Amino acid sequence: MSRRIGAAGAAVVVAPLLAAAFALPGEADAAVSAALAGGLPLAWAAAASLAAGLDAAGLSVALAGALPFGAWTLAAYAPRPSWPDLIALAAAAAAGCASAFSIERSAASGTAARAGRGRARLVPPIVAVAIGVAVAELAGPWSGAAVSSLVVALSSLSFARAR
Amino acid sequence: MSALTHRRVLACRVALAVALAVALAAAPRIVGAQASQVSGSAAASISLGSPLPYAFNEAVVSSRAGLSGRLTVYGLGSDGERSELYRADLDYAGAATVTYYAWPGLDSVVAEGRDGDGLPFEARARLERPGFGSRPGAETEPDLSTLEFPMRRRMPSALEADRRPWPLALLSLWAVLFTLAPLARAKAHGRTDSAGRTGTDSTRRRAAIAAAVATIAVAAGLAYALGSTRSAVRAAPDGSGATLLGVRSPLEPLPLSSLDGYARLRFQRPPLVVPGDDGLPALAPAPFQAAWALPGRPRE
Repeated sequence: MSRRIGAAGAAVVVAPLLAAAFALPGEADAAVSAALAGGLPLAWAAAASLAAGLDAAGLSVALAGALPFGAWTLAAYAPRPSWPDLIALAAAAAAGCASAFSIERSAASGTAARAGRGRARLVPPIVAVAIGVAVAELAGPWSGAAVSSLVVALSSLSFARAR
Repeated sequence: MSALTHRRVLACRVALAVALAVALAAAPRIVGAQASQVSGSAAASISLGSPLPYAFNEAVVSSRAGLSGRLTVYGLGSDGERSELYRADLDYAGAATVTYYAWPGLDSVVAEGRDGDGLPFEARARLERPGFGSRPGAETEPDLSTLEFPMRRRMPSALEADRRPWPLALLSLWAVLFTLAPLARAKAHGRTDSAGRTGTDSTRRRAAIAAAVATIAVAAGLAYALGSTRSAVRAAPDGSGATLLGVRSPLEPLPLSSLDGYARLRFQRPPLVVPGDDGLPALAPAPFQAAWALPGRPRE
């Protein structure tokens, strides 16, 4: 059984991120990799969604809530130019959202027998986000954005077919 | 399937094809490019001029066939330690003027690169010991070599970065809006249900999704813009007459002009110089380090 995100769930996602933002130094002594700086807030949002057993909309909202924090950490702690990494990060979050909705729709229409139930349905979207961030780190932000765009396109195709 | 669904599937296929093409174009970056190897070696030279210790100096690297590709200059200390002092990527140049940091323990300078024909070269020059490390009036100044660097946690607070309020204010506002959004959405749903719905569900949903995406994009863009910081040098004058500097440039190059007010600089570790965005020499992005400095004009 999956749940929608409420005010308490939203607070659980953003409150620790805000606390971390206040606790971190204004400027770093050393640069942090873009995947770590931008990916950690998304990883927290994904972990909170998984723990709360949220639905596709809940996961999407949680990822969206973490994105501005990821943008800030990228700007403050990742080597420049980091704006391509911001695009890769947004694309990875979009890939997670699109694949979550696609899997939920497939499960609802019965076209995907192995879509899983409850929390298991959140695992593939979270893996999609992780793959986008990992490729961006290993092969460059544009490669990561391209892979995430591919996931978005595939998920959208699957979503449209399942209608 | 309805005509609308057909159009959606077609649009998804087009998007899929575009994304696949971009991903394939990016594949060589993932696999990694193979660098070509050229055998043999070329003749090149490096002219050091009259370098000063605890200062940035200029040297000229030249080769009969010109220079191309990556040019790297190393410093060899008298203790045998090798430090990268300069790095640049050249298209082609007849000669290159490189800026490097010299310290009293610097024994020789080595330039490595490729000439205009792509042949590798190595040029080496020893620093002339007599005269290197002394200059008129130096005996009246604090001896930089005897000054100790405080531990990182015990450095003066003047060297620390100020906490900037605007990014934190924006993130706080975002957190509040994000937390209250589900409550506002539930209230709006209640009103819509009691007043009756207007317009189609899909139109309302699209408008809501577009508004949400736009809000997130604006919030992320603002957070990124406000979060960006510039490299900086912070100074804390010391009772000895020297100044302790905090050189902070972890994210982007720091122009050497930031250090123009100092005649002598003793860094914790030899800094790497690279051409900055404007082509002028700059300190390469590096972790925080301290430096003892004597105020004055460079090359004094």
